[in-house]
Amino acid sequence: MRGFRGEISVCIVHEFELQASFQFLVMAWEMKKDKIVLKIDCRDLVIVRTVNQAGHALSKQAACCLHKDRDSDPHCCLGEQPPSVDGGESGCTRYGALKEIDKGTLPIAKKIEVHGGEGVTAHRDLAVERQKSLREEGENRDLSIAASMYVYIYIYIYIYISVFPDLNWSFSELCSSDSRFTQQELPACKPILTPKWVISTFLLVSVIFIPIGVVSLFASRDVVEIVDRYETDCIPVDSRNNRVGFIQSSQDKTCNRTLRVPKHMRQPIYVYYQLDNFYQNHRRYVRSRSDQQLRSPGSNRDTSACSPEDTTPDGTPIVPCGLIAWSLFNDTYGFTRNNQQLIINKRDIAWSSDRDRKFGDNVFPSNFQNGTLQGGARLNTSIPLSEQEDLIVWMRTAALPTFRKLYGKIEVDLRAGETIDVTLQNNYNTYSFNGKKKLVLSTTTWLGGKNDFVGIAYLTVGGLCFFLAIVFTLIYLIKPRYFSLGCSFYSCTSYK
Amino acid sequence: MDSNSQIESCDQVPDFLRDSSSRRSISSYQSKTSGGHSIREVNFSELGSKHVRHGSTGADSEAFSASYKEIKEDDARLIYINDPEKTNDNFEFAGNSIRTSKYSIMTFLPRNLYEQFHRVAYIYFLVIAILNQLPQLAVFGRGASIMPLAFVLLVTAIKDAYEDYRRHRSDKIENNRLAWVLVNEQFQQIRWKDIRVGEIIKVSSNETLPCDMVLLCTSDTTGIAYVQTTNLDGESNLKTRYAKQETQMKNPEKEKIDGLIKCEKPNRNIYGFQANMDVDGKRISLGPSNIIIRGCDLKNTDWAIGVAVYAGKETKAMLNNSGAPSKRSRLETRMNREIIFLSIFLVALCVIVSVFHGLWLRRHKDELDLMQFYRKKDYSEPEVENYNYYGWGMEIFFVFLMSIIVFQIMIPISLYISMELVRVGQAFFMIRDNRMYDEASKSRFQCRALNINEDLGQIKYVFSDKTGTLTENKMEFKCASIRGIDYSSGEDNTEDGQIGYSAQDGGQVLRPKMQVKVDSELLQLSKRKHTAEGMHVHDFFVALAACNTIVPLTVETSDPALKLIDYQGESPDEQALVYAAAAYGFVLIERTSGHIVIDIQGERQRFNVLGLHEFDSDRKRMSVILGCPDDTVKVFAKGADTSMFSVINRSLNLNVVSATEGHLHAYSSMGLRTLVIGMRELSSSEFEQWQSSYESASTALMGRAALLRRVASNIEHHLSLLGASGIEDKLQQGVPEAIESLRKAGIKVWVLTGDKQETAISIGYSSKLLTSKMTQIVINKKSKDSCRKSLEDALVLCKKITSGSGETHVVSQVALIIDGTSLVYVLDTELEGQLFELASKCSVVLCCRVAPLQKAGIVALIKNRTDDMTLAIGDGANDVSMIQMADVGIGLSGQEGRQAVMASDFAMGQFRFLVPLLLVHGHWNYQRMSYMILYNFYRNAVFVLVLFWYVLFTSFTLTTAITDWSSVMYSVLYTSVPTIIIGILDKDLSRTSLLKHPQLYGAGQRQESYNGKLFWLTMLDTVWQSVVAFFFPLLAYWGSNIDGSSLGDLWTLAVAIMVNIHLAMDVIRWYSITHAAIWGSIIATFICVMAIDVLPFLPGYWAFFNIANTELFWVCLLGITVGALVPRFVVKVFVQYCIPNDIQIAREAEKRGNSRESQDAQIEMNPIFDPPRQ
Repeated sequence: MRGFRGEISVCIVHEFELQASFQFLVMAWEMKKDKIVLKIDCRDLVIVRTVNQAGHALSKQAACCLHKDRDSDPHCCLGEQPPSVDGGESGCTRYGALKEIDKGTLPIAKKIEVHGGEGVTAHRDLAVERQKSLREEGENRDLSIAASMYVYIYIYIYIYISVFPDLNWSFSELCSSDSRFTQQELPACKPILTPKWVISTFLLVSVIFIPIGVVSLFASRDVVEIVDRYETDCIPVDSRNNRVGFIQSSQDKTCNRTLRVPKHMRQPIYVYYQLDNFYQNHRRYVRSRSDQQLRSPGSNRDTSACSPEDTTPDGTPIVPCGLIAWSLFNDTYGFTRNNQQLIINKRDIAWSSDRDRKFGDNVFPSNFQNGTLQGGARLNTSIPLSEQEDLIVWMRTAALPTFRKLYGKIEVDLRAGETIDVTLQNNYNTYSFNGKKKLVLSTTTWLGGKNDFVGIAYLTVGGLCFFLAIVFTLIYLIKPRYFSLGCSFYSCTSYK
Repeated sequence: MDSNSQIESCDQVPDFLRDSSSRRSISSYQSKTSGGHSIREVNFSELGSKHVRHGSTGADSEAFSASYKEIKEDDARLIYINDPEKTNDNFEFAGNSIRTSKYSIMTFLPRNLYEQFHRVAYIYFLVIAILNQLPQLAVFGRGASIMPLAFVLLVTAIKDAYEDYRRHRSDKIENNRLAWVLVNEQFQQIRWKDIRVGEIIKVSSNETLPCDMVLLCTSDTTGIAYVQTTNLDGESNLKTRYAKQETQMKNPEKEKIDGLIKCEKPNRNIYGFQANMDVDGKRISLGPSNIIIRGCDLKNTDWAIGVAVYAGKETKAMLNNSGAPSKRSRLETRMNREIIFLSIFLVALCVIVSVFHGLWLRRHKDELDLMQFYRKKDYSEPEVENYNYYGWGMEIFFVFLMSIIVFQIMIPISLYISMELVRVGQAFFMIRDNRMYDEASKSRFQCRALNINEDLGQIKYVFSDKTGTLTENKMEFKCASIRGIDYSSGEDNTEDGQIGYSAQDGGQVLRPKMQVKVDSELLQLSKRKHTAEGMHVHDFFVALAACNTIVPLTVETSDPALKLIDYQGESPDEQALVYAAAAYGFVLIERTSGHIVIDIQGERQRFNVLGLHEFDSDRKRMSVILGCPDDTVKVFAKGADTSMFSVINRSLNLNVVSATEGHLHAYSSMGLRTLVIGMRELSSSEFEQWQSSYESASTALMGRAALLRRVASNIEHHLSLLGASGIEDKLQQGVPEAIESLRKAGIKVWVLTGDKQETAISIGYSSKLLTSKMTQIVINKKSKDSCRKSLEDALVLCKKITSGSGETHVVSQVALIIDGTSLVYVLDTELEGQLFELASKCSVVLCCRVAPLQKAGIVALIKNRTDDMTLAIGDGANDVSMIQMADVGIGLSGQEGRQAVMASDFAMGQFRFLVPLLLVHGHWNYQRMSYMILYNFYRNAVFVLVLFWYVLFTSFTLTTAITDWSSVMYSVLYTSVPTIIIGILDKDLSRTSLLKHPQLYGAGQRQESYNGKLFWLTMLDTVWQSVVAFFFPLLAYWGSNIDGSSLGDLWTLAVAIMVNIHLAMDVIRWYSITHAAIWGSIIATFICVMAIDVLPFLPGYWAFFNIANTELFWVCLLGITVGALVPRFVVKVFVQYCIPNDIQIAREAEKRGNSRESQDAQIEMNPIFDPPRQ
């Protein structure tokens, strides 16, 4: 085994005998009083498995062999397997017959097993492999440690299992024979669905769900929402037959709208634009971005995923590249109330996490919207991406084809009956795919916007459970079932 | 010197000695005699004849008899002794270097990959991974998609490489071991791998044989060598092998041995060998007793010299070096049907997606150029071209392939891995079960096949061997009938005084190892030597002591004055007889191949073994020809009653014969195994005649076995009846109870035995297989027509009984007893169907006098005609075919060696362990595995459906809101551990309940836990759950500013929680590990989702933390979990309450029983103890 990459240590401790068995994995089974503890050491990936005659774990002694200097420790040796197992072991591999016999007839020896070596190399190789592929991939680097650990363990166990026939005997030595674990007599709770439990469960669910449903419904009703669909109205009547032509032309696209506040709206009032039929989750679209480029100026050439909006014809990269950025929404809204301008706060509309860590404060737009076809808004090249909040909001692609995006916040109350004049620039081309555009002013509650679904769903589930509780109570009262009286195996079962 | 001419020239019959075994065909002959008991011997010594014959005759183990063929010229291999050059000149025989390794460095990669891709799952993986590498299709990150496959492949490859490296290493060690080989007339040490066929090899005591070799001479003057074949067949008793006398006398170092061995082509029959040796101009036949094969160890013999005949990969050991074929469990086979449904479902989903995508493209085809979210044209290039658009048809095709990639986990590949893990866990518990630990042999249960654990829960038929399986196969001499007088020891009062007979040897006492109860009357008789009865008794016991193949071994004890004689032999019957003879003062002291020494009442007497006709299954008897001390030659024969009575001279004493027949009948109805012993004194002319024919028969090249059989029949006739013996074969502990339990569990127990009808029936009664209430139908016919007639009659009778029982309410059961002769006419003919019909109506079937292949035939009869699972259990070589034929084969590691164990799927110590194995472990395994399979289908399908619903909202473009990594980890991390843990640990019922109510086993037989109905119900539930999990958040967030990543995280968590809670709902026993697994998985999911969302280069950065900050998220999670699981819960409660099955009732009973052991319940239980009516 020497000469193999890495190293393997085979230990023989006095009064222990080496159990020659294939052990690839890095794991330790330790028999506690009533359970097996599985140990996996990730750092040196060495497994220590020791069992004495009584089946008690002796991991300490074994561990010493690994960590101490082997030469100085008289109990340890390094090198070939001892000749004592030679005959039996080679016989084992050679003749299928022997394995079984040995298992059956060998006296139970006190034994110690220490394994490592190949396992270590294997693991490290894999790690390197993985790192490499991840680096190439560029996007999925660094999976969380816990997760990868788990995968390792899983596959290790799998391999361990696949060589199980070899390990049969040593495996069976792991636990002392009369433990409650091996005899499958661990203490356990065995709940049974008694009527009492069932009815209480249903009642509990309804007790929880109905109030939540009611509260949600009230919350949803509390939301005041003004929705104004403008994509058709904002096209001059004479251009309505050629809406795409209009929107692509350089005509003035200013459009005035008037909104009525139906109920008192408490600040902050969120201003959204809503697009329908816009598949921001379209596969081609979603992938057309470069998160590396957005984050650090060094990666501005990292545009491989951004095509067709990756570089200018002469090859200089577009920052921010990709279809998502290119199609940045560019309608603008101005609000006046009683001829007095309403200030729209456009700060802090994006997630702070995005601003702080996803969009670099030293990355500036360049070559953006310089192509022959304009997708949407232009960006001020002197402002770093981390402050281009509209872009940040837009880049957080929506889950569904109908979506709202936050435009800004109005930080004053609007009273019922007030009219608000909106001056909007209808620039964005949704006409090429019959997309709707809506302007939305909405207050918010703990539940979010106006949506009755949660309340209704909760009320339904809660009500259903209450109904079921009653049904089962009735069944229980009408047709009580006592096992020992009304029903024996025979009368109740399929034995006929 | 020509041996034949010598025989002819010698009118004094040379001492011609044969010894053979009844089972393993060890025969030998030896010329060395001591002292002159007879003139013949003296003459023989004077002649200095050295011709000896070691022919092998007859069949050894029946199972292997078929392999016996005479050697044909073309099939022979010629070995020139001590002339390897010449030997290998014409035919290049394999060298002795062996190679068990599969790969070399060059071939490792291609071969290993080729082997690994034999697994369909890997190919599926590979196709998906390859698809994902195409740039148009890259749904997942390329690394993410290839990782799982690469990982599994790499890890398996490393495992294989390591194993192969180990094999290389052990090959190297093996090949470089040293052996003494004759080179230039002296023995030199050379390496094993350099040994060539034809070379002469010397092996010392305790050394391992380097190759198969024919013995030439041994340190023992008689040419005996003892070998241990533990490495080959697991039997640890010593076997005797013989060197031929012609070569025994030569010392190859001093005298060059020239000769030619003509032997069979290499074959894998380790019990058979046939060859001829031409040495010194004589032709000698060689048999299995003259060859020692690679892997054996030489024991108790200082050295042995032989010539290599087979080397390296042609040795019998290497040819036998192949694993058992793996079986597939029924559940897995059934499961494949559902896998096909799932595949169809998968394809259907993909078709839907691609068709809709095509329609979408078609509808928007004019708009595609300008759509911000599509942008067909690439305006950034000077030439405006289509960007990543391949036309309508190709787009559909690509979408189809992409959807396969996205929905791939619909086929639960991880299920196979989980199943393997679960089976290992189950095997662990089966192995560790103390209730299946055999104290006597200190052996644990063994799982030799890992694939069929769950089949143990569905067994419908148990086919059991009798001897050694139901009984202990520890024979005890019970009674004797000598000359028509029955000496049954019965309740013997004098036994306290009798400590058995001991022989004196100088100052030492020799005592048989095992004490046998003696009949005092018979003991007295045996001492009166000179009366007529005394003579009969004397002859009877001499026959017992001599007519066998037992080898006595003296064992030292702590008391130096006392030695024990251990009778080693391969037939327990013979052992029992020899021990019995010893107890009556006929102590077998010594046996060599030429003579035996019997201490008769303190007086040592020497008998020369002149010839031996070993046992074979045609004659069913053996005989030995002894030269007695009083210079008479007698033939002693013992055998089965039918075969013996045909050769006994009835005219001699008719009364004795009829009395003995009566005794035999009585013995066999007591369940004893009977043997009849006969004897005849040979006249010298008769002896000479026999000897010459024996001589020519045993040198015959063609049809030797048949010739020898004929010689034997010629001498075995007109025997006078000495008596009969009755040997008890004790029932194993707990057998009647076990059979009772199995019967109650709805398992049909069939006993297939080689014993005769009476014995079989009596064992049937004592093991409670038969009861007096049963109607017995006996079929033992000797022609096809009579068989047909009895079958028809039996069927009519059977119908009458079963229909009559309806009126009387008495379940009268029918037992069918059929013998091997009738089966010859029934099996493989059109009568098979009738037999099956009859057998399926009978509650008990007993087949007696069946041959091993018939056993397999009977198993096949059931296996081919029903869907029911069959289990065969046996302990001997004769059960191997049956064990391999049955769905589940169980080997008992009993007295008869380990062939059965080697062929079996599971091995254990005692028959009664079948009850915990089937009723407890089998039940658990089945329940656990069935649930696990259904759950895994559900778990993967629900995830795929959630992905699918989302695809409908992305213009069918296979975007996944759930991140790639979550998709990969869903079946690996988020949901896998609990199902494995529960698959290993969950118990629907406690061991006590299962054993108390064997009827519960029926759940497995009726396939209650896994069937098509359950599958479709589960799938229905799956659809509902996926709908809730997907649409609840969708509607709750409809029209809001939710982003894809956040919603994806919500879906991931919702599905993971829902799936785990679903499992939790079905857990029956909550252990701490179960809690840890289920709640741990949910927590792990949260951790992983968070971990993925802290990576800033992923689009979903921080999404979880943003969405988890809102109340709506948690409200959704709760709503999904409850809403999705309510229907399942309701159905579950309803079924358990209104239409519970056995298991649920028993579970409730168990729960109630814990609190109060209700007497009512006990009374209610009583009816179930009636066997179920079919």
